[in-house]
Amino acid sequence: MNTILALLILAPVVGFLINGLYGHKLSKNLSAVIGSTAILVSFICTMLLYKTVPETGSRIQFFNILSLEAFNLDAAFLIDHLSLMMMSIITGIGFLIHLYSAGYMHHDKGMSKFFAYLNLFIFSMLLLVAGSSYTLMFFGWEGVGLCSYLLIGFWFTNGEYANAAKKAFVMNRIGDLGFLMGMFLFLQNFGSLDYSVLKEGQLHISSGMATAITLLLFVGAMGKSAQLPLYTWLPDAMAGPTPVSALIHAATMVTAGIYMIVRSNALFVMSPFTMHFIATIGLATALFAGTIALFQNDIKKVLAYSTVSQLGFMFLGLGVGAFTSGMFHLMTHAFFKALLFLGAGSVIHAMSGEQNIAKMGGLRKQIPITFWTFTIGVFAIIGIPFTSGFVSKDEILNATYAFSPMYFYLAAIGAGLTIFYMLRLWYLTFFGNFRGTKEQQDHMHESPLNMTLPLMVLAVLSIVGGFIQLPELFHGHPYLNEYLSPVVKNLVAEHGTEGHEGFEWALFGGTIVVLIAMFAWTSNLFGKKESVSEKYSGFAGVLENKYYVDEIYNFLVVKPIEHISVLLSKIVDNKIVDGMVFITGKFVTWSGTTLRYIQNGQTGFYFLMMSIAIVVMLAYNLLFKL
Amino acid sequence: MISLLLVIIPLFFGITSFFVKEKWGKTIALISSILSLGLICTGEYFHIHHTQNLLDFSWVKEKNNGYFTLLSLGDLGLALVLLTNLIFPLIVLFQKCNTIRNAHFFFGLMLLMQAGLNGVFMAQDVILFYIFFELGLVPAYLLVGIWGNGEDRAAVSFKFFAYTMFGSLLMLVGIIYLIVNAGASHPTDFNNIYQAAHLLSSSQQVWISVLFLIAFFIKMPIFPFHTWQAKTYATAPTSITIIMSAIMAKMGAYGILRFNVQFLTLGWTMLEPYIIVLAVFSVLYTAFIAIKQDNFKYVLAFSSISHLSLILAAIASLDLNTGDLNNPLFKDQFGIQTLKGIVFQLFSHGIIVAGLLMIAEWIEKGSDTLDLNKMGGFAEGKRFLPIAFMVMLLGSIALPLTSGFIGEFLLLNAVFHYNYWIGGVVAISIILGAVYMLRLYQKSMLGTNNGNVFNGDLTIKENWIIIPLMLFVIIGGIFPNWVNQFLF
Repeated sequence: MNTILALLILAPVVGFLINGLYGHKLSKNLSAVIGSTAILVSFICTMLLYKTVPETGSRIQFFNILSLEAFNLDAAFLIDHLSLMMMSIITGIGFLIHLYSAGYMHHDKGMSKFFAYLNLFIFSMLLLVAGSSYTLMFFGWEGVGLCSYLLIGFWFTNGEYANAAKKAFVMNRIGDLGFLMGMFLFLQNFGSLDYSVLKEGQLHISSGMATAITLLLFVGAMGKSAQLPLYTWLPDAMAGPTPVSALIHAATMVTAGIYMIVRSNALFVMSPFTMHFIATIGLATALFAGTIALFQNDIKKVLAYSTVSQLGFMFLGLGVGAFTSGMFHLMTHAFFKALLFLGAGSVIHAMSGEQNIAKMGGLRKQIPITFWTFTIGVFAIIGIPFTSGFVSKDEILNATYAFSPMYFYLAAIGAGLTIFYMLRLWYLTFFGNFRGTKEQQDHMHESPLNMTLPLMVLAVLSIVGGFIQLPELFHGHPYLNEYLSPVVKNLVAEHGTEGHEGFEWALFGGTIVVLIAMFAWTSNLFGKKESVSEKYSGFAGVLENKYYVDEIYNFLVVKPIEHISVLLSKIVDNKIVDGMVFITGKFVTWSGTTLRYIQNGQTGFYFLMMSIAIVVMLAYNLLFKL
Repeated sequence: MISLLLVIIPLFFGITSFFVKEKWGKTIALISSILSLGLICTGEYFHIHHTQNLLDFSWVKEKNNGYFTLLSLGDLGLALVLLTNLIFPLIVLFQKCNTIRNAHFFFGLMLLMQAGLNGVFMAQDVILFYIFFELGLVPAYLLVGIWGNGEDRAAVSFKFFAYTMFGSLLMLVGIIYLIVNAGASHPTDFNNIYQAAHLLSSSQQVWISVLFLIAFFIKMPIFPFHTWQAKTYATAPTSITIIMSAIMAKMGAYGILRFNVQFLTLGWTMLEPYIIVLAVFSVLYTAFIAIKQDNFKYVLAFSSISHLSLILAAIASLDLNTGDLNNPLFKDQFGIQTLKGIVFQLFSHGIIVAGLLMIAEWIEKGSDTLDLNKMGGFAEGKRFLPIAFMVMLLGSIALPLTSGFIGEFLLLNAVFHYNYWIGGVVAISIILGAVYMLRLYQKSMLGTNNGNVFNGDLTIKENWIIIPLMLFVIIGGIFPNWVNQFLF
């Protein structure tokens, strides 16, 4: 098991080193083969681990990184059902995306660099999910942030992209600060950052302290998983190559926050306040991002806001106590969102780099494989019954209803928004007349097999992925719940959803009605568009401009910081602080020239001074010492 | 013996260098610095195999056989002596010979600085400490004034000199006061000073502490004593800037640990609450300033103050026993751990700032400017420079798996341990650090060109100068345990 795990973790490192150090000597194909093989090896190793891992998980230690008086950090990994599930998603989808990238990035001269970064990303992500302590999680946590930075700014000669990369890193750092503080507080209370202290019933802290720790950790999750108010970096992160958006900004990295909370579920359930807070933030984000997605015209932006919104749903699930449902949605979302992004990449590829859906239309005939697989992705995310998205979202909605009907209704509206913007995207892209240029029309082509194959695999997963946890309503069995039960406490299952059967049927019926209505409505609105307006007025305009959040942040945070910086540097530092120094210097010169007159060489004067001094000293002694 | 040679060799070769032909200057400096490197390696060998628990600060050593140690390699100084002698060969290699006039004087003065620095970290006698402290300063003053860049170098170096001299004189007053109080037959010996200092009353300790602190704050520097620094760093030849920021600045931290924490413990604990606030302010103040600087080296200068202020904050968070000499200095294990973190970070910061300054120099050489607004797009077509810069940058912003993370994690943890709120506020520096360092990288390496172009890449020789530093940043981040055995 040790060897397999070592191979699993180190294969991406080897790929990274080969491509990073010798990439310039390798051909593009060889770079791609090395990069992809590394991840394939990791994936196979993960599959091998399934057989050997005991139910309670096993902690495997390689070496001791740092041992000091009151702090110990091991390079140790915790392999249990939860981390195995995450590792499978990361390496499995990761491998498919590597394969896809080999086709997608074929024209790019930085191919070896690209694969080096991707490999480094997978390594960081594995550290994040497999590490056996918060410290190692933090290693991965910041590592994926770095890879995200490097990959968003992959085409760094474009200043915009470089800015987006910086924004992503800094926003993540704000979250990381919270995470770090949470870790310090955790360390102080438990004396260790290892997960082994996370045993339910053994966490002896006050609920106030639990709230403080969990809220701080959640701030980290807000940054990494793009929740309100730290979400604005994710849409900008679409500046990166599309496979990166699929891998990092949809399927894996952004779900790190979900994983972290599920991993610490024993701690989070100690603070009802934090749980409520998470549910609220998740719900608010789902709605907020959902509305913004309604009027975006950039295909990747729509998907980006959709990701933010779906992450909101996952947090909602966690917040209401349905940890496994959150994990389940994480998994199905990874399938269909990776599929949608890769499909979008294939569309963009076919459209010679065009990302504006106002300039697309009627693409279904030219790029059939992309169309059909993308369609499956759309169906999954909007929740066509029995697709994976339907099952997982259904679970979260059910659990939300048990938590609070009000939250349920709002979440249902959020799900409705998803249906609307995804169908709008679907119709505008694949139906109606082509609205692009003649050149794009002529150049249109279906993507090569190494790009369409991952699409097909993901399409299959998007359909069947939900079967591992079909609702009992449809005679399914909660396999995932059972599988994760050694690690995850399922509050909802404890409270029981008995007696909700009527509600579940109603939800199912309602879903179908809404779906049919939405299909009819959106097909009418967008099915045969001749032209798409690119400017909206009124509230739609506000939505199109993303509620002006970027502008507001700029005005409230970025500009003031820059002004403070200039003020401190130009006025305070240069004039006041250095001015004082200057005055001190002047004073010394002045006193030097003045005191010179005291040193006049007349012995009598010296004696006089000496006598005065003696008198003063004696007086001082008499007055203060006695 | 090793400690003595570590001072004698650079001193001897430094003086020799004044009397040889100009072209031999660099060779002599190289020989000398490699000899010192060999010596420190030998020292490390003995350290690893024959001593233990060096950082135990509670030392009342018995000196009954009549000998008094003048120099000793160990305790707190070990890491810094190691740093000095590890970096020096690289700095000598880094400094080009043909771009400076009277190169033999230049290298000679550099070696004198090395002797001074080695001496400061090993001195076991206050007068010796003071002499070495000044021996580090005076050559620096000459090097900036004579070989600096820009018309105003004389003014800049005078300001630097006046500033540090002012501090040194205050320190001298403090030292004399301590010697007078030590009284015994060898009043200048650290051991006697240590015992005497502990007998002083609290108000005496506070006043003497302040005298020392001003000197050391100027050296580090810490707000509000920092205004000499940015200009001096930008004016000095880069190799000298490296010595000043990577090593000389550490004299300040070392001095505080030695004189304030160890000797004047009571005074220090009384001042701690004020100093930690000052340090935290200094961290954030300089980090804010670094955000909008347009000169490459200015950004690094302010960043350096910010990082060193964090070290000061951690020093001020130490929980110490005062009074009885028989008590251990630290109240608990956590204090020793923090001290180790401080030493690690002093070392790591030295390496990282040296690497970044080298990159600054190479960029300036290649593009003929340090103005960030005239750079841009330098990463294009280069293989090595972007990687080297990135690794150093990541170390500087304390990314995990770099040595910077280990240090900053321990320091932030210490301040957080002292007080949640202060810890939370000072940790904002990790965000600000990312802001100004990524801006630095972006403005120079990314985007499109804004004026001055930079063709070509680092030369093979330059690669080999910076690779050891990069390796340290990475190894220090992955195997800090292994590094620690050399530090304490």
